[in-house]
Amino acid sequence: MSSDETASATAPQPVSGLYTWQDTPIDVQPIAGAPAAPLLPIRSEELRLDVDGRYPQMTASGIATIGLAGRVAWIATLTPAAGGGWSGAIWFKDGLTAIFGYTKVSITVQQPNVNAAPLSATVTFSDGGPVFTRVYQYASRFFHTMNMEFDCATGSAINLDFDTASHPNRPTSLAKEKLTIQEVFKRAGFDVTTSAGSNTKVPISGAGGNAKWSNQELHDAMQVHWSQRAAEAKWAVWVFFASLHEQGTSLGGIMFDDIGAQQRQGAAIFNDAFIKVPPPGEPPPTKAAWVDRMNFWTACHETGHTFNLAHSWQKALASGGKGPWIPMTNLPEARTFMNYPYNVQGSTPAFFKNFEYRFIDQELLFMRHAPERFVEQGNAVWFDHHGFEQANVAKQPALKFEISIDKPSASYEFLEPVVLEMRLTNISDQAQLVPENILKSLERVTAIVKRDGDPAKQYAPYAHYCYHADQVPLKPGECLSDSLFISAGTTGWSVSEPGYYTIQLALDYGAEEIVSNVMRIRVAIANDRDEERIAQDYFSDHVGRILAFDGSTFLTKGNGILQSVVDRLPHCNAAIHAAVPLALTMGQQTQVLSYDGATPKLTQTNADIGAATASLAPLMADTARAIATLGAIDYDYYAARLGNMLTQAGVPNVAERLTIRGEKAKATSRPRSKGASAQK
Amino acid sequence: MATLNIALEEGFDNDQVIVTINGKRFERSGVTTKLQIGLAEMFETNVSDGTITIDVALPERPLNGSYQVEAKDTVFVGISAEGQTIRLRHSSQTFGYA
Repeated sequence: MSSDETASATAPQPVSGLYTWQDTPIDVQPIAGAPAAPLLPIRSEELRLDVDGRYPQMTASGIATIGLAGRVAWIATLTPAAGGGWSGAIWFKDGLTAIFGYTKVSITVQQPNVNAAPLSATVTFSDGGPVFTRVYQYASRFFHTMNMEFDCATGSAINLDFDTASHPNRPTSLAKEKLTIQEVFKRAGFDVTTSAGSNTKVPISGAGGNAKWSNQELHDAMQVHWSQRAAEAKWAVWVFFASLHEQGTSLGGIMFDDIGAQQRQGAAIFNDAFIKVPPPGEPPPTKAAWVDRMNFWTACHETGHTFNLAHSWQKALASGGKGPWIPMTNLPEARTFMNYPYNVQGSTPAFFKNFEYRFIDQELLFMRHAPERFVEQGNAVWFDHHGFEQANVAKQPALKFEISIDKPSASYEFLEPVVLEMRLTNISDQAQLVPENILKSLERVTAIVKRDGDPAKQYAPYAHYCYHADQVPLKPGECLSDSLFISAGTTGWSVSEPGYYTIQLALDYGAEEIVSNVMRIRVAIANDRDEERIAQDYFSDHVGRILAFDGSTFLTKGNGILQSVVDRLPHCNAAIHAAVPLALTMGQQTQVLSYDGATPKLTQTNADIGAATASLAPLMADTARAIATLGAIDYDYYAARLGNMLTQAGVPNVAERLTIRGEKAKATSRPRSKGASAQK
Repeated sequence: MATLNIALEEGFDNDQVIVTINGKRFERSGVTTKLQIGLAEMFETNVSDGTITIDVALPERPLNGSYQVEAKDTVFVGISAEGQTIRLRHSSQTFGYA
């Protein structure tokens, strides 16, 4: 048991640790005549209070599940408050920060008496929004849980502990104890469990003929022998003891796992490296303790790297686009597991003279309070493998969010843009008030697109639209719907290369999230070399913007690419999409701002109805096919808009060739019944 | 004869590094520090006992420096790029990385 755990039952109990909150219904604004009903009630949040116990950081941090991405992480520095408890400023936010404006927290803890475990913590958020109070239930004296597995190569030993009294060179205040690796990380705030799969003897044959381990061989061994291995991020680490790395005796250990999608899950300690060789002046009676100490330091050091901790002299280093999570300073003299004892002034004896076998405060702050994705082993690409699987789903949802397409199958041609229909339906038996333009603005919609074998991407539209926040009642069975061109956005083309894609959306509904169904689509390979050649220019920002905004008079290069699609690939669905912006651009009189020297001037461009009509050939050739690829919502909108344009231009006979299906608005900003939408 | 163990340590990020030892040129490209051990790569060469000159150049940054080291038996040399300077350290004991 740790020294913390052996504390007397009558001793004051620390209040630091993890607190959680979940499952509180959210009241929504009642509709006149209808009873108020809870709407999507499930959320969970966390509070990490760090004000006492081992190495208090006088910090609180939390997770608020607001929106799909789920999470706003916040960190505040605390000082004792006059009336009890603590208060302080929030100095770090990560996630959907725009909807979490609070800058101050005040915290009190509810505890029956100082000798009893706390029951709850009350947090008041203020400054930056309406004062808001939340009560979190005490969950653990630790901030996170994690699992450690310790294995070794045949012929090598696992060394988990160190007798702090065994070497005389130590701080006078250092407790004399048998300190374990697990206990070091418990003191850092982690509820460490040791894997039942520990103590596996890994055949030395895994190191190849030279019996020395390369990083790749270590990684392979981890894949085979780590019982906790999973293709996902998890609070778990594999610590492997072996003789030597292929680099030789100069490498005492390494966090070797910088390969693949899940990294920082494995560390190795080389028992026969330089850490086994005491300096010439080391007295014989303490040589064994010297070796034990270096081995223990190395194990904790390498395990520390798996938490994303840098060396203490690299704290401020940015390299390869990666840097510290907050501005930091290098600390080459720090007494921490993350420093090299032999590199400080006075070398190893000076280091251990006042090393207390701990991580320093800035490291503890990071490990305990930084957003989990920065710290958790194996956490890698944003949303990959997790995504919406972690989202909270309402037990009794009132609204259903769906995505669909109007194609008979979810197969797309190469170059064919993907347009989804989003539909928000009231599936409760009571009317619900919803923002009228909740789908149209896209501000509240988060979309994730993942091609099989690639990391997931968050779709970012080219524009968000700001609408007046009118609320409309949605009767039972009624829905709102709108289209979403998801192929391209500000982060590039989300759907381009052939392959299978998974698409999922979520709707941020205030403090709640409504997750859509998952859609799988397949993008076919190019039919011929001509498509491949066009693709080289087609998957560009210009083309994406023209398709998203239904035309441009400025992006002439993009227009040329789309014209080549219409001319050279008229049989392809991409030509139908290309036809729309080209016709809308060419069929309208426009004014273009240009400069004659420093003098601005407006140049008028006349409509070219002939060219516009010609470009519409792919769209008008097969209405059913056009509806399928454009989606019914967009098809109706385009047909109406193009029809008006052609009629006004004096070619009603051409306009008549556009099949008008009756709906004029691009989206149903007003509620409609299921029956009405089912006509598509 | 002495053995010179050269370690390219901190501060390298896809760099071209030219180490010239008593006029003998060693060139490495794509040198990148593995941050978790503070080391990019190592190589050895034999030199005559006595004072040797080690010139280090990173032509793409550009950085360069010249150093003299007494060579006897085995000498371990660590070279790092720190900001606008090149730092060199040497020892008769192996440097430890972890």
